[in-house]
Amino acid sequence: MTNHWVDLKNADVFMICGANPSENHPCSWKWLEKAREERGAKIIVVDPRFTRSAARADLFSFLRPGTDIAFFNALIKYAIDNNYINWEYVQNYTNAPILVNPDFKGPWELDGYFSGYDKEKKKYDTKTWNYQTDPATGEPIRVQLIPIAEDPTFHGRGVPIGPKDANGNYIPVEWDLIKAGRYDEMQPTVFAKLAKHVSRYTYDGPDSVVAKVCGMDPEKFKEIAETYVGITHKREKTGNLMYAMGLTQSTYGTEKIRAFAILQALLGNTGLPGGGINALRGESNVQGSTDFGLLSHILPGYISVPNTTDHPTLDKYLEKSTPKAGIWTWLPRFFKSYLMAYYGPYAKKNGLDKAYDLHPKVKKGKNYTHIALFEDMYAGIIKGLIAWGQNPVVGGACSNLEAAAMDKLDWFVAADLWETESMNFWRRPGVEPKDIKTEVWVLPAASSVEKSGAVTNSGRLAQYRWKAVEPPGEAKSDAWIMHQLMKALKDLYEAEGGKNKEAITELFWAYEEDEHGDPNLDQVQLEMSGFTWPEGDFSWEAAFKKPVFGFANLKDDGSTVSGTWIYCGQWASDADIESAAKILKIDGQLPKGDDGKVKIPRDKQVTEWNGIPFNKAQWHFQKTNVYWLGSDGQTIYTENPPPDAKLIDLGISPNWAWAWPVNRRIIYNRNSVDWSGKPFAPDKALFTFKDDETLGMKIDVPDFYTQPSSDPAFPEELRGKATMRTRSGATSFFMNREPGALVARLFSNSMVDGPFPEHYEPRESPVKNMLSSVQNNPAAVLEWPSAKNEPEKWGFAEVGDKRFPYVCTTYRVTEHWQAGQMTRNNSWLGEAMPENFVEISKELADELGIKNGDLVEVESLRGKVQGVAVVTVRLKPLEIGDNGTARKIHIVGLTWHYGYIGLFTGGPERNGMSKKNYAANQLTPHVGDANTTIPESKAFLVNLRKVK
Amino acid sequence: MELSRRSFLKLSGAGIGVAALAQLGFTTPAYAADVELRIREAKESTTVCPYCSMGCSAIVSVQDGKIVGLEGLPDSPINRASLCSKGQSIIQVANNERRLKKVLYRAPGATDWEEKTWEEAIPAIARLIKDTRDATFVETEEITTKDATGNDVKTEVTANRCEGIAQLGGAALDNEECYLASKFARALGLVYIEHQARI
Ligand code: SF4
Repeated sequence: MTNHWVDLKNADVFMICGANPSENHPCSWKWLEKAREERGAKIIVVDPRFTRSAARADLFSFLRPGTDIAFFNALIKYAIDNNYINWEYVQNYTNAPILVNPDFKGPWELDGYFSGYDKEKKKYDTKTWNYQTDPATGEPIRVQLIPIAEDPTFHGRGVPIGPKDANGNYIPVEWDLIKAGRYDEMQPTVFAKLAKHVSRYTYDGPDSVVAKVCGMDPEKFKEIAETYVGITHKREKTGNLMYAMGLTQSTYGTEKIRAFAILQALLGNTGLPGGGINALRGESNVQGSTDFGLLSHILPGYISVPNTTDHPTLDKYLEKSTPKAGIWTWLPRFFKSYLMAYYGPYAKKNGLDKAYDLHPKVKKGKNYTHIALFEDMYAGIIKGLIAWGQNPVVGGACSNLEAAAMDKLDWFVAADLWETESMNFWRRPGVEPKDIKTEVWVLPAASSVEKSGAVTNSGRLAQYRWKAVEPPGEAKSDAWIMHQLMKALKDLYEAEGGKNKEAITELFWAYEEDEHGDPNLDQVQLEMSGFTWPEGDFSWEAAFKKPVFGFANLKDDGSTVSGTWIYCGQWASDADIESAAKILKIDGQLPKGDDGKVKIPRDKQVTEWNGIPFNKAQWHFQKTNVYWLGSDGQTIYTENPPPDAKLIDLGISPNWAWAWPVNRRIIYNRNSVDWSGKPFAPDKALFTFKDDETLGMKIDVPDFYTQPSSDPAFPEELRGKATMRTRSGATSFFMNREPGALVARLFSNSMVDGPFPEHYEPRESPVKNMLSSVQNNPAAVLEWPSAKNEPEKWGFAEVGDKRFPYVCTTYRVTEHWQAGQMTRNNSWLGEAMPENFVEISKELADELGIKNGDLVEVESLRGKVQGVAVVTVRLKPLEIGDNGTARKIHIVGLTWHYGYIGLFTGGPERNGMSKKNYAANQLTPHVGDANTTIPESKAFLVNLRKVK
Repeated sequence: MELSRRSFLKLSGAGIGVAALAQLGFTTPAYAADVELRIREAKESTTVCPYCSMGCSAIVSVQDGKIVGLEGLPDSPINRASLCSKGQSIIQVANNERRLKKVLYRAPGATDWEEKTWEEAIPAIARLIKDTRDATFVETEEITTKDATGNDVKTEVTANRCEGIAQLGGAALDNEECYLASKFARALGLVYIEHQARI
């Protein structure tokens, strides 16, 4: 999330697409209701099903699974056609005004392709996807999309000078051309190209794209567009996108999110309270596990993994990976501090270059993600698998294939709380255990209340939780298991040697142990956060005396350690905590150490401090400033408010836990303030800028350069030419990397499948693509080896395949969680949602003679699962276009929580194993997004029959 | 230290003003539970829900080493005491007969589990990891780059990766464990490192 959960209360309009928060993030809904109550917020849900969120929405429309880009692009077109654009934001904070390379061509010219497609390699060469640059400065050329009083230093930026239209919006310089749809005659800006691109995504009448592709009622579309786009493009209003796997599980999932990000930028909704692009993540710590680099393409802190071709040495790695602009110019500090965390003592002796050599490097261009991993396991390349609480036989895509891949393993080690389908893969329905030669170890693990540690929620907030009870029987925390295994491995390699032995023997793993063998997690946390490497011999005592407070203080000379730079500074000092206690007037009660100074207890002892998150790794004292808004809706009071002024309460709670980076709650927040330094929305202002180059009000941690021009850190070349306000405004998205374009990118060269989002059909679709002759995302891998070699087992249905006439989509319910092991073993939840079910419309039920409660079987080319039929009005057949004719398509809905083992399996069996299959992922295809390889589990083709 | 925020607030009555709490980011006063509670003998600590990513907090009440109560934490600005059906049932994760309590082992081709001890498991698993790692390790590989005149140049560079072992999972772990899992896997040279975020 760019924003956070409580911030939902600040939104004016919600667009919920590919998510169902009322069902899957139930406690979030109170914040939407609060926005509705206090701000009159409107809630829009667009989904293939009338969900529990839809039931509470103001506006709802059905949409055919997989057609979100067509819908989002039509919204962008609606914004452009009606001049519903926050022009001041677009002119200053986006790349819309930048001129595009004349060699760039789009799908409107190349029948569905962008320029640079290589049909042999099935890949794009992205060299035309860039800007025209000024030969003098090397920076992209910006022009005026609206008339502005241009800043003399930052070309193409400044304060708008009018005129405005009847709605109060600035009239663009080329409005006549825009109105007439003559985009080709406009200056070749990103904006003009975007306008041309989305002009094909029509929304008027029954022949429009929204009607024929998405299956939406065009009148309903207009109502939705007028509410979302019509309201939230206004300066003082914000729109909030809430999405989840409903968008991302697609062969063009990343481009869907980009489409919406583009819309949010045009409307000026990102960086403001109540706005942003908010991914509602599914698991309690899927944010943390991503932050700490448990993915094949990133190291902790989103540092890209080194490969052998480009990065054979540390110097090469830094040279090729460090950009010329933005926050990532600090990569050398982040990466060297990371290497120090892994190999500190070794690097002190042998240098960081040698430490870098020990670190693994991938093969350039090789995919190691989930789908590829199971393909390689199926091909016999992977021999051993370690799983920490993951259950791919239920949760993985095309799970029959993934289970068959596990049959080829020599060994499998699984740590979990329960017996899962995955650890019992060798006795799944339909296989003979004696044929499966895999050795399996099952390690009993501790649950969240049986160990201490932090988890990071979707709003990037790391919250600590304390051990309440001992784990049952011989169960141990995962940290204990990893620690004991690493110690055993170190001993083995010391004794016997082995490949790249030093990577293990020299690994900095010096955590002290308690009497049970648990590693000291304070030490782990300090290392994750950061410290200055002590002089002389290493000792934790010395390290604790020198924590590093924030990544800006990390060094690129190997003198600092930070395992995960974005978490740098999460380790708070006792003094921070004491300041907080002073406010609560309980500082006199704080525990003291032997030296009489305040010493805050942590971990197990800290349970005495319930109710207050007194933990060094999450408790920071930051005075929460209080501000008021005058009754004119504009004046902000920092003190002595008049009686009719209202408190500005944005729900930031900066002292509740700690958010990365540097406890910032809303990222890109420079964009909440216009070029001249005034908040776009005064009633939810985060900052105001004063003439003396300081901030007037400050509610959040600034996500921008705050040094005044007199500060030594202010760049030499801007001295006398820029101020804190103009410099920060000109680089308002400084996580980006392009010099002169640290702005929101409506046109991007970092995607593999196009600088703009283009609609393609899901890999399995009932119809041909109506927008071009390119059926599927041409940059996605459309056939992995399993499908190529055994198409009859793991392949795909044809377009409009008569054998599989229905579109199937998968989803979750409140009572169950993900692959089910955490809830199907729980009697309260299991009783509430005991069996797998299949949702079908009344119309389809009538066609097939199925009644509510019948047992049905759903079949795709790759598998069959059973469930109880739920005949419902929550689904309805959609009327769409197919080769010029209208066609009705049916949608089938399936939850994906069930499997074959547990207190509740998915069928009528209880407390054991089932001989039948209930896991929806047995049906899904093994194919994924072009950029991320997230599997396409939300739109595929099935057949359906009644069993009894 | 017997003091907790709730008991402290109870003792001090109106001693802590709302203004002071607001400075700390608490916009509502803490709720002093001064009725006689069924869990009055229990020791309390706070936890964060292990299910979805909202991060709702709860108070866990423990008596005689067993969880006897669990309720939403009013002080959390995120959930303000509310919990959904999953959050409410965390108690059934801890108090559950179906939890794994022993190390289990399944020999190749076997039809059932046998129970093992940690003393057997840790060395055996370390041995499996080492043998597979050493057998599938890529220490160096040849790469092709271009020289100044555009000709292909082949060089042998260190790869130091293990292609025979994969690691999955992390979204159900704590941050400290995720960090250790990442460090553990990369020290082994693993490159197939994936978790729930990808699916
Ligand atoms: S209580 Fe419910 S809404 Fe809150 S974190 Fe847990 S699962 Fe999510």
